[in-house]
Order: sequence, then structure tokens, then C-alpha cells
Amino acid sequence: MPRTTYNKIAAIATGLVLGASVMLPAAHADDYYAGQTIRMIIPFSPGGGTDTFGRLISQHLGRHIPGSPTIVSENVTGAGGLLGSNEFAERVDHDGLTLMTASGHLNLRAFLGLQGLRLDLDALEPVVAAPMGHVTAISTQAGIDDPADLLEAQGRLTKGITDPVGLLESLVALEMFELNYRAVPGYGGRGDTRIAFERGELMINTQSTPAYLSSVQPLVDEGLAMPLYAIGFIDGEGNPQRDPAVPDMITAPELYEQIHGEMPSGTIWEAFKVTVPLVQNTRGTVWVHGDIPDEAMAALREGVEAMVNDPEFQEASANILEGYEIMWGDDLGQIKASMDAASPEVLDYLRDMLHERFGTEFN
Amino acid sequence: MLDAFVNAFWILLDPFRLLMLFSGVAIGIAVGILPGLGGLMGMALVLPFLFGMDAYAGVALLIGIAAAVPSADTFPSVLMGIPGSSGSQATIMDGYPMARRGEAARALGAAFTASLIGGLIGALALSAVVPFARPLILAFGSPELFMLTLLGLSIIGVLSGNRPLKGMLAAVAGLAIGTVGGAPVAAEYRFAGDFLYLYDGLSLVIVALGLFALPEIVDLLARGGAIAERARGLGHGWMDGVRDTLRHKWLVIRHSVIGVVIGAIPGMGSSIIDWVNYGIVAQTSKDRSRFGKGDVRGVIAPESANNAKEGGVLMPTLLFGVPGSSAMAMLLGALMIFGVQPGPQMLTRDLDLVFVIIWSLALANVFGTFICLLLSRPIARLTFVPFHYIAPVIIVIVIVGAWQETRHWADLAFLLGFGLLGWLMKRSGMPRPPLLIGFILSGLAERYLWMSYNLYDWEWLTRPGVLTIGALAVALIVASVRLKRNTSQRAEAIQAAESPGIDKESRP
Amino acid sequence: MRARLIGIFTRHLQTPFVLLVLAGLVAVLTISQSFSLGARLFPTVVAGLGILLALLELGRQWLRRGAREASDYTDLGDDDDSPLFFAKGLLFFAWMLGFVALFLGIGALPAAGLFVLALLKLQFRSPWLPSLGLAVGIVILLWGLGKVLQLRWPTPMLGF
Repeated sequence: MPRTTYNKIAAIATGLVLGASVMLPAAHADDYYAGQTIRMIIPFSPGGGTDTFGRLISQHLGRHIPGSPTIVSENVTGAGGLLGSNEFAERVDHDGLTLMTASGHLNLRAFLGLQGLRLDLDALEPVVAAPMGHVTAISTQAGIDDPADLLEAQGRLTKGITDPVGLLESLVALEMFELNYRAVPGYGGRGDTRIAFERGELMINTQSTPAYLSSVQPLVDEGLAMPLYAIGFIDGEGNPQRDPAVPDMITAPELYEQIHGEMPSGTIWEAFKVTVPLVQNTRGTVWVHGDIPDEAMAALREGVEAMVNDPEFQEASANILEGYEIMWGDDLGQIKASMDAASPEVLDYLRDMLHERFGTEFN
Repeated sequence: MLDAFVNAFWILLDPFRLLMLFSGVAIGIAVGILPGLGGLMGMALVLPFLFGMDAYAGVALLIGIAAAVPSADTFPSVLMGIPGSSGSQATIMDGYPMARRGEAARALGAAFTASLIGGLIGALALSAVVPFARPLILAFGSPELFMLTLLGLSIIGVLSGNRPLKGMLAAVAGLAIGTVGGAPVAAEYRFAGDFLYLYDGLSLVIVALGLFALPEIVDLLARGGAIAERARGLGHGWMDGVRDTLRHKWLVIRHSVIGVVIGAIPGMGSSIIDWVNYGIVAQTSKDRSRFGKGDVRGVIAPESANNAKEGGVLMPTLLFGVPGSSAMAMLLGALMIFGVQPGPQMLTRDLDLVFVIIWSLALANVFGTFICLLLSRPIARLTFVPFHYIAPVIIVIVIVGAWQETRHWADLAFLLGFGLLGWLMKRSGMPRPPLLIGFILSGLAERYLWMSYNLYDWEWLTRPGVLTIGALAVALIVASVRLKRNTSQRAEAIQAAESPGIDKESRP
Repeated sequence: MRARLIGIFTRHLQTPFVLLVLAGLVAVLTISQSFSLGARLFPTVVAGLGILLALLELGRQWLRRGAREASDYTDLGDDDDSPLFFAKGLLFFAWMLGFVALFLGIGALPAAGLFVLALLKLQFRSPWLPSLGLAVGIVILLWGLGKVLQLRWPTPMLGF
């Protein structure tokens, strides 16, 4: 796993947060959490990537928060995360004693206002998060041997869909290229789409970067598939950034530039810039209500800072973060900044696209 | 390869790892016996302890749980007609009538022996086949998976006995109930209104417990007495059951292999395996008159398949990182904690771990079976205790188990609702298994049909795999109809010879 | 009179039951017509097929009215179809409903103890010793299971 690449980013991030921590209000943070139990709601069933991240944080964060509260994680499953999220949104006290671990896709659903979901991200504050990149590959059956020929790909360009909202960033990328693809909904999970891709049932496939490296790379080596692009990240100024786990792979906007001679523009590009940071930066995000007491917020921030600097946590988290750097402190600002940057037209564009293609309903 | 195989055994012999394996088996037996709780619950319980644990020990713990559940869930299925977990529903069909006859120990002995052999065959298959399993797994595309759901539905014929119309009606009702909640290929929630609880559809645990557990408890209470209607001497003990299984060794092997194969196909879900095997054994046996009345073959077939399937579901889990069951999704999460990415390279980079998993599976089956056999004699005695002392405890445990599903009051409301439905079905001569099978297969059938169409338009109908499975389904139905005619002729002959009062229970 | 009513009801229960299923399927068919195509097709086909089967089954029952129906080997054989048996069954469902209400109302452990004690004393007139013993036993068992398996209990609506 490519670990060396992000050391630089890590160093900068550490510096930033050390700077920020000096300015933290020194309220009576010490006693707020003493003897308390914090409940961590995980709205998914145990075992998935987001759940594992939530459990990792539950395991380590408590002892670093002043007062050493116990954190107990609880899977509140049902309705694709809606039951747990709504419980967190509406039925818990805003006292800092309940946290929730959301997936990037849950964040996106809340952001777009999916029908039935009553979570308002504006009223929440991120505590800590973990990013996750994605890579899109195409089967060699499509008859192209260079990503730049993407628009000349042949045959039924099938793309497996698990949950339309969940795959939005990869769909927006395909829309950006104006590729004439055929969406096939109904797959149980990204793993199922990977098998279908290997079987030749699906022509285009998007996987998380670690899954790409372990399961799709062998197909590329056998000559059955070709990587098209990494979704990549978006930096604070809205410029594309390489995926730190696959730094040599071209990103979607770069490929667009290569094909068309100019960077993408217009609503679709704005939509890309909104969805990508939201999904990719937040494979797991721990949220807390924004209006909890100041001393509680300060204690949580202090706890996160001590946790990420703890060698024991760094060792335990290395496997789970799968080659990415944990996001905390000021870095988290990006998550809300990308939401704030979204214009109503972009939101309408995304909702219309999902509604037209898949019939998704919004509040 | 052989090196790694032997090496893995030594790795597992470490005392701490063996202790973990044993703890896993103990937890698996506990959650397996308690209705409503299953392997998923047991694995979720130990997940927090995996952080910082050595990968081999952690895997041994999880596999211990996964392997012991399908052995232990036989207890409530046989003794009380209550599915212990979703894997042992079909065991009820013949195991429970045996217990009613006072042959609980024999049924348990047969079941556990079948479980042991099935589990070992599963482990063996996993180690022998894992290098070649990729083509098998890749052979089943969406169209083939759709045909497999049809094959699953075709066993409804045999489960409906002399009332095929009622059986089909029950199955269709199950299919309809299965459409509640999010549609698989459209972003729409059906029949749920604003009730978020229904967005995910109804839970299999709740439906199965409701349909089978509550009606049984109610009827036993209304009848009074003990579960076993008559006591046989101790001669009908568990050794008889062990001998039964050994006598039917080909049956055990055949159904273990079927269990491994169906388990290995990702996307089918493992809860249908026991029913498919029950259907096959009932459909292919020459003398079918005793099925449903306590034929030991009806216990042996689903139980061997049930344990063997764990070897099967591990194949897609390890080779593709695609969980074959919800418990395997947990194993994947654990592998992530240990920094192991499942995928084809597991066979080169993590071969030791693969063989530790296989050895754990084999050893856990052995441990689990022996513990269950030891428990079976004292526990089987419960069938002779007046049932009104047992019922309150069972009612409390079933309701507590159902509550763990999502901890929503609607869990309990639907449990009671399906209980009443199952009870009314019993009263009106409507078979319940087809309803459950329809419910399990509903989402799969709809999903794979749409996917096949979206992928290939109608061209998928001519794929060789589709034609093969279709032919198999037709053959099974034809065989079932022909055998049924023979059976009913024989039954009429017997009926004519007997006096008019029909005793439906246990005629030896 | 009441017994006769129940008698009529149970003997011919299969017909009302099929009618109930038919009503359910008609509801499925009607409601699903408002869905988009992807969500509508499967329920429509299933419900249509089911309605056909239900009508065929009703026809079969009409043709064979009066004949005694012997159930085959496929489901657990029912024991008894006397009115008394039917009434008793409903009574036990009522007991379970009561337990569920207590479970949600006063919390799991007190509900379990009370339910076991009440069922044994009031319904089965068991002696005090085994009744109390079993009630205390189930509370301890649940408490232990709750600790070991980290079961979660309902938040009682009435305090405690």
C-alpha cells in the first residue's frame, strides 16, 4: 500500500492543527465528560467500512477526551441508514453525549434531501473523518486501449448501480464525459459489481481505490480491463488533485482536458466539484450536533487531537484507513465548505438527474 | 501449498488461538440455540475485541462462531419446531415430528452427525476447490441467478403435498409480502407509506419466527401435556441417530456438496439452502410417504447442507471480497481490521491465513458437534416436561430475540401478526413453508429478472446456463408430479384399509 | 350458540382465509398501479397470478364442499380443530400480546418476571413454588444473557 505519499500532507495538516489548537477556548472541558458514557450511533450493520471506522474511533477516542468518557458504539440499522440517522437527528439530546458515524453516501443523501431522511448537516459539526478515493475502469471488450479514446468505446456500456445516490460521484463523472452508458440498477454492493465486471457482464466499473488495487489491478495485468481514471480529489480552490493512493493515475477532470483540450465547465463541473469532496472526503464522518455546550465541543476537539497523535492509534488505524490520512481539525472545514459552495442550480441538476434516471424522490 | 497447509495447522495450535476458537464455538452455540439470534449477532458481539488481536486468533474466533451456529440452531428446530436461526428452518419439517414421537435424542444425534460430516466436507471442499473456484463463481451471471430463484420456487411443488393450488397461493402471497419496502431496481418504497421501519422490507427472522414459533407454542399450550406425546424407552437414544446418519452416508455427501455449491454462488443468500435441500431429498426419494411426519432423511439432508455451506460461502468472501452471507460481511470487516484485502492475491500473499480459516472451520465443527452431542441428552429431556413450564420461558426468549432485530416496537407487532397468520394457515390447511420460500426469493427474483433484462434485453433467455438450470427445474417438477401420483395411490390404498378416523400423527 | 358459531367458523376457515389472501392481493394490485414501471411490474404480475390462483382455489373448494379435507405431509399436522381448541389458541395469543405490552411499557426484566408468574398462576394454576422459581429464574437468565450478549432492552414507557 502506498503510504509514503501522504507523509507530506500529514506534516502540513499536523502543523495547521497544532496552530489551531492554541486558539481553542480553554473552558471547563476537564470535567464535562468525567464519568460519562458517549453513545456512538452507527446507522449501518456491523462489518462494513464505515462501521469499522466508527468502531475504531469509539475504541480510541474516549481515553483521549478530558475526563475519559466511555464510548459505546451501537448499530442502529434499518431503511438503509435512515432509521439511525433520523434517531440521531431528532431523538437525542444535544449534550455531546451522542455521536454518529455517517458514510459519505449518507452525507450526500442528507445534502440532497433524500425522501424520508431528516438529517440536516448544517446543524451538525464534523468531529473526525476518513477519506477514500475511487477508480473507474473499463473492460477491454469495449475495444479501446487508451483512456483518451473513451468516447469511441463500443458495445453496450453497462454500468452496475447499487444505490443511485451512493454512486453519484461516479455517475456525475460519466455524465461529464457525455458518455452514452447503460445504467443497470439492482446490484447488492460494490463487490457484486466487481464480480459482474470480471464476468464481463458490466463494462464500466467504479471501485474504491484499495479494492481497485487488490481486485481490479489483477484483471488489468491479465489484459481484461483498463483503468480509465481516478475520480481524484478537489482542493480548496476547486482544482483537481491526484488520488494519494494511486498518484500516477490520471484524474477524471484531467482526462476530460486531454480529450477536449479544455477543463470541464458549466453546471456539470460545479456538480462534480460538490459531490466529489463530499463523498470522497467522508468515507466515514463522525458528526456531533453543532449546538452542544462549548466545553463539550472543546473537549471533543482536544480528544481528537490527542488521539491522532497517539502512536497506538496510528498503528491501529493504518490498516483501516487503507492508505489515506485521517481528517481532523481545520481539514474538516472542507466538508462544510463544499456544501456551502453548492448553488441551488447544482442541487436541482443533481436531483433532476437522479429523478429522471432512477426515479429517486427528494423531500 | 502442502507446506502452508501443515504450517497453518501449527499456527492454529497456539494455546491462545485455540482458546479463541473454543470461545467462538461457545458463543456460536449460545446464539444458535436462542431463537432470533444468529451468527451475525455473535460476531458483532466480539468485533470490539478484534482491534489489536493477532489476525489468526481473530479469524479463529469468528470462524468458530460461524461454524457452531448451524449445528446448535438445530436444538430449537427439532425440540420445539422453532427456527433457531435462518439456516435450520427446514429441519423443523421432520425433526420436530420426531421429537413429538419421543425421538428427540435420535433426531438430534442424526442432525449433529450430519452437521459434523457436512462441516468437514465443507472445509475439505474449501481447501481443495479454492484455487479453482473462480470459474464456478464467475459462471453465475444475473440471468443464471434468476433461473436459480425459479429452481428454488419449483420445490414448492413438493412442499405443498396434495394441495398444489394452496401451496402456490401461499408462495405467491410470500412473493407479495417480499415486495414490501424499497424496490430493488427503482428508488421507490412500496407499501411503506411514511413508516420508515418498512423501508428495508420485513426481516426474515421476524417472519420465520412468527410463522413457525408462535403457532407451535400456542397449539402446544392449547393441547396441554408435554412436547413428546409418548415416551419411548431410552433405546431410542442419540446413538440411533448417529447410526441413521452413517447408514445414509451418500445422502450426507450429496447434500453437503449441494450445500457447498449453492453457498459458493454469491448473490443467492444462504437462507434458502436448507429448503432447497429438503425439497431435493423429498423429491428424489422413492418412498416419500413419511416426509413431514418424522423421516430422519428430512433431518439429515438440510443439516449436512447447512454446515457444509459455510465452506461454500467462504469462497466468494475470500476470493472476491463479496460476502456470501451477512455473517461473512462481518468477517470481511474483521479482515479489514487486520489489514488483509480479500481478493485473488489472498492465495499467494495470505495463504497461511486461508488455511488457518480452513483448519478453524474443520476444528470448530468437531468441537461444536461434540458439545452439542453432550448437551443433546439432557436437553432432549425437556420434551417430556409439561409444556406449560417451558412455554413462558420460550415466549420470553422468542420475543426478546425478535426485539434484537432492529429494536423497534414494530418488530414485535409484526412478530405477533405473522404468528397469527401462521396459526390461521395451520387451521385452514394452508402450507407455511411455501410462503416463507416465496418471501425469501421475492427480492432476488425481481432483482435478477430486471438486471437480466437491462443487461441483455431478452437475449439472456438463450444463454446455455439459463437453459440448463431451466431444464433442471422442469425435470424436478415432472419428477415430483410422477412420484406424487405413486405416493397418493399408495396413501389411498392405506386409507381404504383403515377405519374412517384419520390419525395424521405418527403411524409407524 | 357461541360454540356453534366458532364451529362453523373453524370448519370452513379455509374459505375465509383464501378470501383474506385474495383481498390482500387485490390491495397489492391496486396500490402498486401508482408506482413507476420498475417498481410496479413485479408486484403487478405476482398479484395478478395470485388472484388467479385464489379464484381457482375458491372454485375447487366450492366443487368439493362438504368433503372432509385431509392435509398432506407438507406442514406440521394440526392437532385438533374443535372450537374449544380454537378459542384457547386465541387466548394464548392474547397472553403474548399482554407480554409485549408489558415489555414495552415497564421494561424487559420486570415484564418477563410478571408474565411468567401470571401465566403460571392464573392460567395454569401451578403451585407457588415452581411458579416463583421459574419467574425469578427467567429474570436472572435474561439479566445474564443481557450482560453476556450485550442485548439491548426497550426504554420503558412508564419509568423504572
